[in-house]
Amino acid sequence: MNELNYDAVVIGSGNGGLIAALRLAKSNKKVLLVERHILPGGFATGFSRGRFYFEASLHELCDFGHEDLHGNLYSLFKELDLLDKLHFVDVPEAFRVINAKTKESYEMPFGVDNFINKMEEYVPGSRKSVTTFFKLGEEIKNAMDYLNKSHGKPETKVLKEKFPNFMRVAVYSVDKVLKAIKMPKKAQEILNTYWSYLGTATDELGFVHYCIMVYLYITLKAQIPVERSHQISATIIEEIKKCGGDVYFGDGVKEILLKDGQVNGVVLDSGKIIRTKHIISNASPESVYGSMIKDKKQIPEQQLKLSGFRKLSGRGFSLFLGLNKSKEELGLNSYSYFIYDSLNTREAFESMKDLNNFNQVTVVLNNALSDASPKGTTIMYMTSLYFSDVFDKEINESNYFDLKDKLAKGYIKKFEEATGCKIFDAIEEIEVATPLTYAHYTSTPDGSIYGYLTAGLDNMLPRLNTMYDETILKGLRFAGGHGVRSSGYNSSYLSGDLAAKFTLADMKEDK
Amino acid sequence: MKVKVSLIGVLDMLKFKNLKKNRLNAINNSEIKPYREYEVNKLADYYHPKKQYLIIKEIVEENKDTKSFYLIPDEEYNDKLAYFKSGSYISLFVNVDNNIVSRAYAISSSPKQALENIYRITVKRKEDGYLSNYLLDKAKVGDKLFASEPGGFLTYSSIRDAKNVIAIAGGVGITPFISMAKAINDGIEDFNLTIIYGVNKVSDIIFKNELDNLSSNSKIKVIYVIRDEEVSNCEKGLICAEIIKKYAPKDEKYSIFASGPNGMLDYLNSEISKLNIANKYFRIERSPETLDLENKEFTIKIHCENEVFSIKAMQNETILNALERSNLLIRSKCHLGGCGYCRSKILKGEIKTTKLNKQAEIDKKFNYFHPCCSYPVSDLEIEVYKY
Repeated sequence: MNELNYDAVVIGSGNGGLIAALRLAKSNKKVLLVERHILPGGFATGFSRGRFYFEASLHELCDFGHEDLHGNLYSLFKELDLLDKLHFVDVPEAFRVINAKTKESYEMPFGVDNFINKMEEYVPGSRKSVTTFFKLGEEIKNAMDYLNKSHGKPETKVLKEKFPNFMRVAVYSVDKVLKAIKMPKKAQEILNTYWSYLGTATDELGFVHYCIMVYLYITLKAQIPVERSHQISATIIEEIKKCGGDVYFGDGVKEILLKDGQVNGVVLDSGKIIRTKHIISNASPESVYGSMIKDKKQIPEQQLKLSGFRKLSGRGFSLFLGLNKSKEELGLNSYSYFIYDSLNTREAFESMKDLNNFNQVTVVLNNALSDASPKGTTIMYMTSLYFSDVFDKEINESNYFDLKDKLAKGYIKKFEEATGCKIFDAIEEIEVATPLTYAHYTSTPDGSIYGYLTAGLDNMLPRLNTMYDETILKGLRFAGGHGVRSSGYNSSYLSGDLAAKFTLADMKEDK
Repeated sequence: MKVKVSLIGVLDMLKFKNLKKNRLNAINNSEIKPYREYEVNKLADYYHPKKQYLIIKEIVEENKDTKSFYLIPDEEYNDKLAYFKSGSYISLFVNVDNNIVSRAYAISSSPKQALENIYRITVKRKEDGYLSNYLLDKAKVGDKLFASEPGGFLTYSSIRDAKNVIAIAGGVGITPFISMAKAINDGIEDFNLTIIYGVNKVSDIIFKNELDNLSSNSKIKVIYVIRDEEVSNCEKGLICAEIIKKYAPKDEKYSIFASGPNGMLDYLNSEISKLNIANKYFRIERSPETLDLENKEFTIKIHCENEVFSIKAMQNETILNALERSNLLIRSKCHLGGCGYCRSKILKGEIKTTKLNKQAEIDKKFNYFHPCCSYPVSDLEIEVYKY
């Protein structure tokens, strides 16, 4: 039998797996990255239709910025020697949000002062509370950096002295804190626009998580890769190989081998056995515990109990449109349109359990990258989430293609009604990705693209706070959207680095 | 600045300190829910199977050098065929003299029949066509083979396309359109289909009876265009702008779909430019192109996972052919360089690719290539991935 030895095996080349493999390879570990698909990146990939090149998912990087003012993701890319190989461009504005029912619409800029001033224009009397929000954002960012450095053992004294506000808001939801700082309701609604980037209504979403994300976006702006998401993914693969790592495409892990409750190897689809003591899985715990590990008795009980503790977050739906007119001809002036049935996030969240809700985040790519498509054409992405397992209830063995068309028409109509821009007749290419598409390409459970719902005690902060104390299956770490930092490009990249650092520490313990 | 949420800020701090304990307690007090296979993931496997194992159930001779093959699932491996959108193709993998050989064929049956576990593909003899000759001369009922999932872009979209579709078929290029006509007749698709079917001689026409029967549906019309013969109720000559105009709706928008030999499609391209229709209303499915290169032998060193070995390849065959001839099976689907399934990497050496090849810029920079539409022009060292 053909047996190979590796210091670590990384399952899946989504953003988390890519960074995990690169970090291990750069730390002189012998690493094997196994990807079942033919392309790297998971959702960070692309495809051609006619004369258009689309990306599989929204790809605004948060926590990035520029040399003079940058975030943790920028630092990570720099540390891993990726920065000089990639090109990024700022997106032009923070967001435009439209209430589909009332047609009220707000467009918000980047930059803290600009944001506060614009909000004061829309909601007189909001200045003080919105200013407080951004000050909290700064304190939370510093507190989180301190917590990350303290490896699960922060000093209460330091926290109390330096980050007292952080400590006082840490356990509360967005809604509770915004109410406490007396933010006018309308300002709250506008400020909460980005909620769908985290996939949890603001009455359950941890304030810390949301506040730091908005703070990072507004201070550092959002960046997108000029040569598209696939550039990042393909470049990381090259770097892994340069550092001596091996990458297998078109092969997957069908079984994880355990011995005495510890990782002892993997069996690939091709039948090969790889011996290793360490696995970082970009595949979800559902796949790992559900199908890759045969002997469930060797899985620590606490890991199994997580199944009853957490819930899957949004299942993905995306529409990719290539239009045969320019954005000017079509009147598409904004980069991103957040179109909700209600600016109350709970109401919007609940409506998104229904298949025919058509709430959406729509991006006009050419407003950030003017030459993203041939002259005189435009690329649009519409993305939505379903917050229930509604999709499999609607689809059978023969109605899938019709259902895709029907839903696509719903999203397009909603966009046209909300913005007044007529795009239907300009559609030259269209592709529809459903939860089924995401399940097909990445094996993600139920087509979820946001990992686990970040709510209550499963918000990002309690997850990060507890990660040193949870009982894990020895040798197994998780990265990617189903990992501790939850979904999103920056979160999944950073989660890969975190998982690799845990694994490096585990390796030291081996000795 | 001092922000408090509850009246006594110290309590908030205490709650923060207890966060870890509370979370761990909550986890430990949770019930274990068994992991299940999600219906969406099962449906994903049904609509997008990685491989479909098939058996030839029946072979029907359509004319002297065209046969149809009725394929059913090989129940040893799978009991259901994937549903498909009419106009789709499958890539067929056939064991020829102990090598697996693959080619793409449009499905010529109705999607409805897939639900009854039947695909039909129709193969015309091609001069030097390795697989077509094998299928026509040697394949027999009961033979086992496998196929990719169905796919392709010559399918109707009620969003993108006009409600009237003029389908232009050359020879065996009729296959995707007969599937569409059947789908309309079965109530699966809803659009008006006018098939303009070009052949050299009347005897080249296949599916004549089926097409005539389908024409009784008011949404389906068939016009035969015979190049070399004068026949009543048929047009004579090549399919040109004039013929298209004659049968296209006068006051309504229409889309043109085309499928056939590349020579015919090149001519059609110039004819269609006279009609002044927007890009979006013209969809075309080409056949694989060949490069006219010398008959020269090269060595290809291949890396596949941890294995390394060398094969011989001819300059005038695609690298995919060379791999398949050496019994190395990699994933492939469209055979045109467009779907990306055979994405592989060049480590050393030079290739030439046909103009249909389509790749992201960054993949070109990193020397990825598509073996299905690439020819070696030096010795090569490449990395390929297993199917």
